[in-house]
Amino acid sequence: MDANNPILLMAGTQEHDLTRLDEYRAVGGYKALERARALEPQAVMDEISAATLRGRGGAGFPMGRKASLLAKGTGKPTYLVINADESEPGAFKDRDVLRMTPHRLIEGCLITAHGIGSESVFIYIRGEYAHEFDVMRDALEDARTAGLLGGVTIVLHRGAGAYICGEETALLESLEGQRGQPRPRPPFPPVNGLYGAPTQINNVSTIALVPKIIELGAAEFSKIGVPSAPGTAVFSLSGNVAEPGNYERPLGTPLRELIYDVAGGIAGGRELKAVIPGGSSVPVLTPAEIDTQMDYDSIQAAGSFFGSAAIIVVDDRCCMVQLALRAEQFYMHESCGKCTPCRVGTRWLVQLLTKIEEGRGDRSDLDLLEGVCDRMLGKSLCALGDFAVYPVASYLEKYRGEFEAHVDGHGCPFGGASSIEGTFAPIDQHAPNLAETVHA
Amino acid sequence: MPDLVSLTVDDRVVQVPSNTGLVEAALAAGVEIPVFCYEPRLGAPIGACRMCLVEIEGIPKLQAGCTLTAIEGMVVRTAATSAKAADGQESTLEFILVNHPLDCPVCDKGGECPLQDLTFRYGPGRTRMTFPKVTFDKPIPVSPLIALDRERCILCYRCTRFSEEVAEDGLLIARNRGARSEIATFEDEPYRSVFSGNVIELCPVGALTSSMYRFDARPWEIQNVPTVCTGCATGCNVTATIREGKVKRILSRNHAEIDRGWLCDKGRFTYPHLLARDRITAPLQRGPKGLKEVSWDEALDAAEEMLREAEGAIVTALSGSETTEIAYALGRLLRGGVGVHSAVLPEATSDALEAFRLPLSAIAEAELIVVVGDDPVVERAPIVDLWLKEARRRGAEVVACSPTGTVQVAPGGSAALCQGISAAGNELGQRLRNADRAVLVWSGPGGGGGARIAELAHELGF
Repeated sequence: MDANNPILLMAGTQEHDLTRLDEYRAVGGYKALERARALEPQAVMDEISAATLRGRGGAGFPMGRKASLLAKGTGKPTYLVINADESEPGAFKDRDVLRMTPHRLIEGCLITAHGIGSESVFIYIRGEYAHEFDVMRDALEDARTAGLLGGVTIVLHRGAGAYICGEETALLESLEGQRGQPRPRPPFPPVNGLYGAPTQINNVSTIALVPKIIELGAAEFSKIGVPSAPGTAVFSLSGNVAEPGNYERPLGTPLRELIYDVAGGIAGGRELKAVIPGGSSVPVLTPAEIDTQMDYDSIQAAGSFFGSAAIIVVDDRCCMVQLALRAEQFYMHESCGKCTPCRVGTRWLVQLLTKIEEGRGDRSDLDLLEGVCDRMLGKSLCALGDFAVYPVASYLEKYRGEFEAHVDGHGCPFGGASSIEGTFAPIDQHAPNLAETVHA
Repeated sequence: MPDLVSLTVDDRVVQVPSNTGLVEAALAAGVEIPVFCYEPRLGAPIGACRMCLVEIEGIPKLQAGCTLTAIEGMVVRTAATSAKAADGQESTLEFILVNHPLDCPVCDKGGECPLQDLTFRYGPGRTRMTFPKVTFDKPIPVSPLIALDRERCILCYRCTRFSEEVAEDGLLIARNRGARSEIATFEDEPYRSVFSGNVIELCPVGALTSSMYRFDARPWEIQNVPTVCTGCATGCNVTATIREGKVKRILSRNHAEIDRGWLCDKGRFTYPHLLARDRITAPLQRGPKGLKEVSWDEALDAAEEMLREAEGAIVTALSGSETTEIAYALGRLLRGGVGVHSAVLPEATSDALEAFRLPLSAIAEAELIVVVGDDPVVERAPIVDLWLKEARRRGAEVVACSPTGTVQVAPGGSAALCQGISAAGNELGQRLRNADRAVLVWSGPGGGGGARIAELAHELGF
């Protein structure tokens, strides 16, 4: 392992076809499982806790602490659920884990299942990840045939295309066959999760790191990354960088290094205008803020979130109003409709942003835009309500001049250009005619 | 006695049993936490409408009060004492009203509408929304009895939760998502249910209205008269809405031990028979030329004369669907006033039952329920079926012994079945004897059913 650039999640994927069980075993695969099963379950969880493995799904909650909240003695089974519903615009890290090293995820599932005493694991895969599902299914079949499951049942469940099902409680509802909408919390999943039973939910990349923790030991693992967040993350760099793609780097790598050294800088030699560091839902950072380190606490101190480590780089051709509108169209389309602020607010924001982008707005519309954001923020049932606000509110705050230019000049100074089209699904999916009657 | 916890709501300290919902706990402190989607009879709270946002000391974000339970030492601030909570409430109302058509002048709910009331008390005075609202085709007849106006709907999911979690028919659903979310019937089939009308009353806006009452009256020109449904022997408490001396609709009137505020469609929608043209509305006296209309005075005089002449040789028959009060008054008149000593009731009850009789709500608390009799409960006494469903949801076992039940009994075989159950060695009988909370339900035509059940209960040592 290269001490300067340790690769954990994607280790061996360059040299080997790790979708094959024999090749995964050739690089030491399933040895960690063997070692873990020889340990008491609590010893396994202690190791994970000692490694301070923080959730790679977005919130960064330590996995060990989450597991310690699992209700004991309920008379119900304990479930392990893997969130593979990667749907955040800009995020594609889990996809590579699923399709390139599926056995690492399976091994992580089996080690965790041993640690928390679970016999049932559910992997909820984003519906659009058809190829990844096939890879996982074949890998699971191989692992089963090889007798590696050891009495644990792993269920692969395909989602049906809803962003909201990446929210953990909506995911549970969807798994149970209900409408994919979030549940109120409390009760939290470790107490009352899938089918009312204690449930551990973790992201693909979190669980796929577990074998490495067992293999290296918590002490060695903790040397990578930063003390508050050891280990690596796969950063998905997209937008206007010269070499977009997935790059595994230690947590704490500066944003500037990721953009300029790792991803080759801004494409076409243009100027950097904005960076969205954790997927489309997190507050934007300006070029002045890119010396921030990419780890949970540092990025939060800078006023944004680590999110799904999906770094969207925006160059100077892009209109920030257009970008806000595009993001909001996505969130309007994906709002589940359960709670009032998100259901109504996203549509209202799209209407306001359309008006401003088309040059029909005035300064009072900017105040209203800010007001609607304030009214949505912190009032929804789940985090999506806030996610839908952060892009608009932060672009307005940091690029207010551009918004003002739209209303003062009665039009878009950029001619409606968006330099990062492609980060979201095609626009026709997300932009219905809002004045049209919905027919029965 | 459950443990008491002490909490503070808007600076008022109140003690409530632990696990009391925060909305109820606040009420105990004399504070209203306004709600739309919260309705404890519909199962677990869903926290969807966000009307109940409150500030809890120690939690940075506003919380949906309806989803929380009272905890020792909790400090709660509602809109009355927290600017943050007030902003939350006003935000929710502003968002709800963004797409609401505000067609209150022509809405049946106008004047008795929770959305109107809460907007009046907590809402913003003016709108900031200048764009086209979401518009839907309307009204949608979800059944011949109920019209759905999707534009008025605020998506509180009370109706779908009733269908899913109380009536358990799964016929009302929410579909699509985001701003295009809408209430619909499953596969667009008509909402055919024994209990469909309850969703009209559950709806906190005018989205679900009664086709029969639609555009028929305004709330300020009606009187609501408390009465009791005579549709079956259950005796659900109801309110009759009267306009110009005519019954215009029937509403539920929550009696916690009988109906819990639910009504069956038979009880709710069959009132037009009161206005039937061939209904007899004046006394008729039989004479040489057939029936002749007479005044009430004449009729009562004639009746008194005949009753006195009979000198006690009278048999009186009651229909069995009178209220207790009417039956008592009749009994007093006949026994005391005219000296009658015998009475026949077609729905034979039995004095022996008095030793075992429980309120219907006891069914919900039971662990084992055995239903005996030829008729399905849902046909005989529909509301009892809802109590059985609730018991089953709470984990009770319901054993229906009937021609269509879980234990197959040939029509007319209930008497033999009861004897069988009480016989030594009968497995069901043994389980009934061992159960802490067992309930027997008779569901069949009259003729000694009550006495039989009483006998069985006695045999089983209830």
